[in-house]
Amino acid sequence: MTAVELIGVTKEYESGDRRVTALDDINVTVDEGEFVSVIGPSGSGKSTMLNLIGLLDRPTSGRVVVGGVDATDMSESRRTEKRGEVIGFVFQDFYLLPNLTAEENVRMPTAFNKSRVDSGRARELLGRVGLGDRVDHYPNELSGGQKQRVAIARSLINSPEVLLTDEPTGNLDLDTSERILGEISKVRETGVSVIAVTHDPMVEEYADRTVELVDGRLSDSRSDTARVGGEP
Amino acid sequence: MAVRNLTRSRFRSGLACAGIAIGVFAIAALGIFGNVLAVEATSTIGEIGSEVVVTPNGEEGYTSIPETVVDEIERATSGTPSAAILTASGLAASRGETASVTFYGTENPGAVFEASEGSLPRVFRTGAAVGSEVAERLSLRVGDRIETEVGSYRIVAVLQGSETQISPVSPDEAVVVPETALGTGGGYDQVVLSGESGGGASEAADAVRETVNARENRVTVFELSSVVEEIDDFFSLLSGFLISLGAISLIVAGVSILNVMMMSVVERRGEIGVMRAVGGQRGDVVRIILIEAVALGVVGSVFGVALTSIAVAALYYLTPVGASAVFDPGTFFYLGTAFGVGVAVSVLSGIYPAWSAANEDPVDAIRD
Repeated sequence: MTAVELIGVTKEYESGDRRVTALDDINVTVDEGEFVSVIGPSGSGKSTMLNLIGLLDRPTSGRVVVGGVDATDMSESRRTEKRGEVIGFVFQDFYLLPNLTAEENVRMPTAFNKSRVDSGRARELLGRVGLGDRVDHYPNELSGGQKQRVAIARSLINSPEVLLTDEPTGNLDLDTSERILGEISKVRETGVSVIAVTHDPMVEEYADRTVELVDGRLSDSRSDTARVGGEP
Repeated sequence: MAVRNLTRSRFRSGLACAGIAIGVFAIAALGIFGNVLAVEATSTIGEIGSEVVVTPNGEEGYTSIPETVVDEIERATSGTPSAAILTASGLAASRGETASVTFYGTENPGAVFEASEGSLPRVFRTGAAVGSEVAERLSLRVGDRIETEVGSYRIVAVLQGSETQISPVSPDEAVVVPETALGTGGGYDQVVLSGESGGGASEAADAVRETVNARENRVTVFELSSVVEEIDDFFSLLSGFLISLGAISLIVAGVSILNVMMMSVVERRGEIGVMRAVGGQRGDVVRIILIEAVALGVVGSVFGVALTSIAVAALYYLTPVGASAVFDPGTFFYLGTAFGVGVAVSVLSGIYPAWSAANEDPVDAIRD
């Protein structure tokens, strides 16, 4: 079953008095439980693609379908709601709230929706990422890898269908990166699709396939992009 | 979450609270002090507010008020106690001491004066009442005798000093004698009407103008209540001025909160972006920032009210100001108003930072 579909998506920005095309007529499909890494040089449109799938941005043209629902024309409020329901984010800089404990950080997204998630679920998720003994620690008491694992637990609290990660290993050493990728990889077992934007070749080793973007277009150079590009 | 955010920069939050506390203190304390002044002054001058003084109209050539006019005044103002008064200056002596005094001759001293010792007779035919200064200088008490240019009298009363009673006739250096002592052949120097209230005095004054001055302006009618009104107006102006000064400091405190919230929002840009990314609506972000501003305002205002209460208690214990003035309802009004204004200023100061944070594009916030 398809978790994410970008259909003929183009994204243009105004930059001063000229228009910059960040993505140019892209077609991407990601299946349920699939791990796709997105690579490409800086400025190739990787983050733009992630923002469009994450409903943080709107395409200039084309359609964005997430969790089987066309979100292209949704209102800002509905998109925010949808984001909370079906998408989990993991960022390079973690963005944990420094005044909340690990467990409170994991529960933070539930403060904005009607779901009543108790601390048991947050503790269970922290246990799953190997931080069962750090639930009451504040971010400044955690290492970079531990913070990123808290961020992964936070991204899963609302049981998302799609997990989006932007340079998840960007600030981590080799050993920690392997552990984080192992955690992200495990997420797929529960049917969650993972899309990881990265410069890190190690991510590709964990991904089911890799998509390469060059100047806002999908590159044909990679052999494992069979379900990417072409006609939807 | 909002309250915990404030504890991240305790010093900065503390300064913002201190700003609000000082602003609330300034508004409440200046308002209360202005009110205490007004209440104290009103209670002192309130007694003259109900008196009307009728004097001969010198501009029309009248130098005294004849008996017939006094009768007209009494008829026109029936029910309002009045005293027709003759005035003269002279000397009084007792036990070898001499003092300069003002003689007031009247049949009804109770309408104008109050006694602190002895009592003033309803119809004054014998004896004399002396002012507090005269009594002190000549060492006089009720029952003593006093020798004057207009006769020898036994003291029946010592008058209340002008500190506690403001009167159109000065009581301190007075020797009040029966009017026959000063002779009424030439008419009276003034008639004092004592209404029970400012409104009653005003009616009596109008009645005198309509009857005695119907054809010719024979007398000048002076209402002390008009002075009281002017004094009231002055205190209203003074209170307004003092509160404006306090309001300026509260505005400065509001700008300080605005600054604290803006700095906080800029510092937490990424976090707020993540909140939006994980499903936080704009309204959620607005709510969090506003709650932070309200928390600063409430804490600051509570401290401001506490400081003001201490100042009011000090005013009561360390100065001669009476409890009725200090614990006037106005005091509680200003405390409540200052608290409300402190919180309101904080909310207003939080609106722009909240709006600004809520409208930040999460993509930009997370990217930078």
